[in-house]
Order: sequence, then C-alpha cells, then structure tokens
Amino acid sequence: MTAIGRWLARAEDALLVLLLLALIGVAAWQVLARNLFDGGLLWGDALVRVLVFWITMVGAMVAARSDEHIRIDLLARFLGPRSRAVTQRLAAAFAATICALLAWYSIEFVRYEYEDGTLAFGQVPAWLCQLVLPVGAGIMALRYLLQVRRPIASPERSD
Amino acid sequence: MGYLGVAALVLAALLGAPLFSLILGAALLGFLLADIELAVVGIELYRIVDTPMLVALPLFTFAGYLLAEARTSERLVALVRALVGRFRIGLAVVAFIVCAVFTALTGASGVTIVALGALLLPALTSAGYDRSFSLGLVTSSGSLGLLLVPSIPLILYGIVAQQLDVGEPFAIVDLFLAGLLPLLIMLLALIVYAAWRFRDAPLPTQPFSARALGAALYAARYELPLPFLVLGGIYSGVFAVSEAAAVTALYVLVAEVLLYREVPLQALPRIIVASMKMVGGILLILGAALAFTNYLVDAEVPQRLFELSATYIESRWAFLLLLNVLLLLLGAILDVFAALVIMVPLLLPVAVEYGIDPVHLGIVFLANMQIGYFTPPIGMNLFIASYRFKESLLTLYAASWPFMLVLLIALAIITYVPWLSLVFVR
Repeated sequence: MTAIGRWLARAEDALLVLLLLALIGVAAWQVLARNLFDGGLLWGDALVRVLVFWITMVGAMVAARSDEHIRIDLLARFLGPRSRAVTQRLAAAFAATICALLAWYSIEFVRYEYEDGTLAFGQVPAWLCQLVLPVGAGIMALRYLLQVRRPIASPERSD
Repeated sequence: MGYLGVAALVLAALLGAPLFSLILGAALLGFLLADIELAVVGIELYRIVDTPMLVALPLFTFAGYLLAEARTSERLVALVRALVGRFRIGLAVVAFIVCAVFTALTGASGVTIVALGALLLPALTSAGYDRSFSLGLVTSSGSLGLLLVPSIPLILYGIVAQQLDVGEPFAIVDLFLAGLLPLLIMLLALIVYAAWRFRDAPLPTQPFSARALGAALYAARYELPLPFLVLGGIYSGVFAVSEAAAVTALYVLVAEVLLYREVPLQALPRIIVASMKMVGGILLILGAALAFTNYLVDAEVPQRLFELSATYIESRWAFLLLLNVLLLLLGAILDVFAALVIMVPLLLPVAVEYGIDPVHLGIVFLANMQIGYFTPPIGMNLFIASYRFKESLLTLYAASWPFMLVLLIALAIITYVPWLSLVFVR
C-alpha cells in the first residue's frame, strides 16, 4: 500500500510539473505569436484553459495528500492534541464522503459528454479533458479515507 | 432533510473540514433539495474552463514563488534603500513599499513576513527603530499590497463579481486601477505615523550615493524590466491580465534560473508542486463556490438578504459602516480566499441595491481583509510572525495595534470617499 502511495505521489508531482511547464509554454507562445506576427495556435487558448483545469485537479490531489486544503479551523486552535486528533478524523471522513459523491456524479457528467461526442479542441474529445475530474475526486476520496484511519499530526509544510 | 443537511455542514465546518468540501457539500445539498440532477456539480466545476481569466492564477502564483525563492527581496530592499535612504525615516518607507510590492507579487500567504521579515527586522532595529515598531511594521505590512497589481485576491474578487453580473459591469483591469489611490492613502498614513512616532529620535540616514544606486540598479538588472512589463503592459492595455501573467511567468523563469542562476533547475519541481498545490486548492474552492453561487441566485437568497437589511438599514453610509465591522471580523477569522468566495456572492447584490459600485466594494472588501490579517486575537499574520520571530502573541498584539489604528483611519477614508477608487475607472 505504501509503495503504491509513494508511486502515486511521484506520478502526481511529475504530472503537475509537466502541466505547468506546458501551460507556461503554450500561453507565452500565444502571446508572442499574437503580438509579433498576428498568429498563434488555433486550439492554443482552449488547450491553455483545459491545462488550468487539470492543474486545479492534480494540485488539489497533492494538497489532499498532505491535508493542506484551506480550512476554517476556529475550533481546532482551542483544542488539545487528543481531541484534535478526533476532530481531524471526523473532518477527513466528511471530506472523503464529499469527494466520493463528486467522483460518482461527475462520472455521469463525463458519460453524457462521451455519448454526445463533443470536441474540446482540434480532434480531442471533451470527455478526455474532463476525465481528470472523477479520477482526481476519487483519489482525493481515498486520500481522505486514509487520513481517517491515520490522521497526520503535523501536516508537511513546504514553505 | 434540509435542516439535517445544514446541521451536518455546520458541524463539519466546526470540526475543521476542508473549505472546498463544505462548499461542495452545500451545493450538492442545494441541488438535491431543488430536485436538480447532481451530475450538475461536474458541469459547474468544469466551468473553470470557460473562465479565461483564471489562467492568470497559476502563472502569477508560480512567478511569485520563484521570486520568493531567489534573492529578489534583497535586491529590492537595496534598490529602494538607495533611492529613499537619505530621508529621516527612509528605512521605514523602504520597508512599507517593499512589503507592498512583494505581497502583490506573492499573494498575502505569509510569504512576505517569512521572506522579508528576516531581512527587514534586523535592518530596522539596527538602524535605531525600536523592536516593537519594527515587529509591528513587519507583521502589519505582510498583507499590504493586496490592492496592487497583480494581487490574486483582487483577480478572484473580479471573477466572482463578474459571475454575479449585478451593478455596473467592469473589467479586471479596472480593479487594478481602482486600487492605486487607496493603496497610496494607506502608505501615506503609515509613513506619516512613522514620521510622527520618530519625530525626536536620532535616526541615522544614509547619504545619497549615485554609486550605491548604480550598484543596486545593476544588481537588479534582470528584474527591473518586470514591473514595467507587468504594470505597463496591463495598464496600457497592450496585454490582457492573463497574457501579462504568461509573459511574467516565462520572464521570471528565465531571469532566476538562467540569468541569475539563483534557483537551480533541480529545485524547480519542488517549487512548482508547492505553488500549484496552493493554486489547486484555491481554484477548487472557486469552482465549488461558482456552483454554489448559481444555486444562491436561483434561490433568490441575495434578494431576500437585501429586503431583510433594508428594513433595518436605510442609508448607504450606515450599510458601509456595518459592512466594515462585519468584514474586519471575517478577515480575522477567515482566509481571504474563503471570505471572498463565501461573502462576495451574498454581499455584492445587497451593496449594489444600496447604490455602491462593485469596483468600490471590491476595494473596501480587500482593504478590510488586509487589516483583518493582523487583527488580534487570531489574525493569521500574528501567528506567522510569532512563529517566525519567536515572539509571544501578546508582544505582537502590542506591537501591531498602532498600525491597525492607522490603517483603520485609511480604511475609513477609502470607504467614505468612493472617488478614490473610482476616479480612474468611471
């Protein structure tokens, strides 16, 4: 399990790096091309916006991994470490439930789009761009489920 | 069923569930009660793709993280110091300006206190400013600059407000124009306060030296074009905000990694993951909030809120006063992004009914949030500064309340003189 978790974490990180570099590359190219020779990629702007959506979902997956999503922890500041461990588990259970619901209902959304055969840009079908929503939400649900079992005492802070 | 759901949401909020899950939960509950197919949350979240302005978020955030990683803050301090160091309270002025610029670039996530505090605090105390003043300055200035381009909270306010489509329409650039004079008022108020507090103190000044200025300019040679590129590009209309963000990200990447070589290539993945983790969190909340906002509008909640408030509050000025009190409290409790996505959909339609311009409301909103960041007892900057400078919270309360008072006066001016926010816009 831990091996799978570590592999998944590395894949998420690598994907996030690739997505951002692609975003910078395409977005900057569009600006330069538009201003220098009034050109640019036909599907460039659409691709850029899909990349932002993917960054949102993969970034959110990484944040869920280390339990770093923004929260309003009014109560937690006044609790001792033991009661805090309990509230953390309950909060994680709630988040896991919502993520699971999101994953379940967005599968339906993606299926509708698949049946409609909508194109996002170029020859790329829309459902492929949207796939990250149910997959990401599903993995986030699993991450929070793991935290119900073993809450992280002090979340890793990278800054 | 409805009450049970609301109770569960409130309980989850108290327990400290992630904000995105709370808002998504609220949206799901709303759709469920209104007999709308729940697959609609997927559609609503995917609308992130229909908002071109959002492209600016990851790009500006990444650029900010890169700048924080490099020695940009040192160069910025040296440069501003060479420019205004000869004035009596020059160093305090340096600190205010540098904090504002740095916060605008990096977002008010505490990076300013962490990155600049270590630099400014010893510089201030060794130049003869007392420790309490210096601590107060660094703590309270960690959110200064929320109104300056390319502040991400300001962009987010614009996106949420445009989504609501009430009042006079405006562009995101209008918000950046609107923030200029109010920020200047805040800076002026702070500088006057510093000058008054040290009116008799023997503060050493640094004589102006063309050589020092030249050296500072040379050191900052690769970063100097950046403000002109961003500010000039956006204000002149050459770039859209999202285009400026793309150019900024690429430019900063080249400057810090290839030209200055202060950020090694191997460090990039770590910086990208750290910054995009934050962006993912914010955008997910925003996406969920947009879905929830649609539900609120369908249920005519803002309309009912206005009718309720109209029975108690008649004048626009009384409304603005209450708004300030409410926002200051919220600013102390909530993260600025949370406050934006929760409160703007509720407050903006009501404010518009009172005849308040959406652009003015945005400036007032963020000015409040900025002060809320270091409002005792639980403003976030106080905790960050306490942790960073190893000082007790009580020391920081004592150090920052004069700054709070000064900024509250500035806030009152900004609130009651809408002209300051609107002169360049309307």
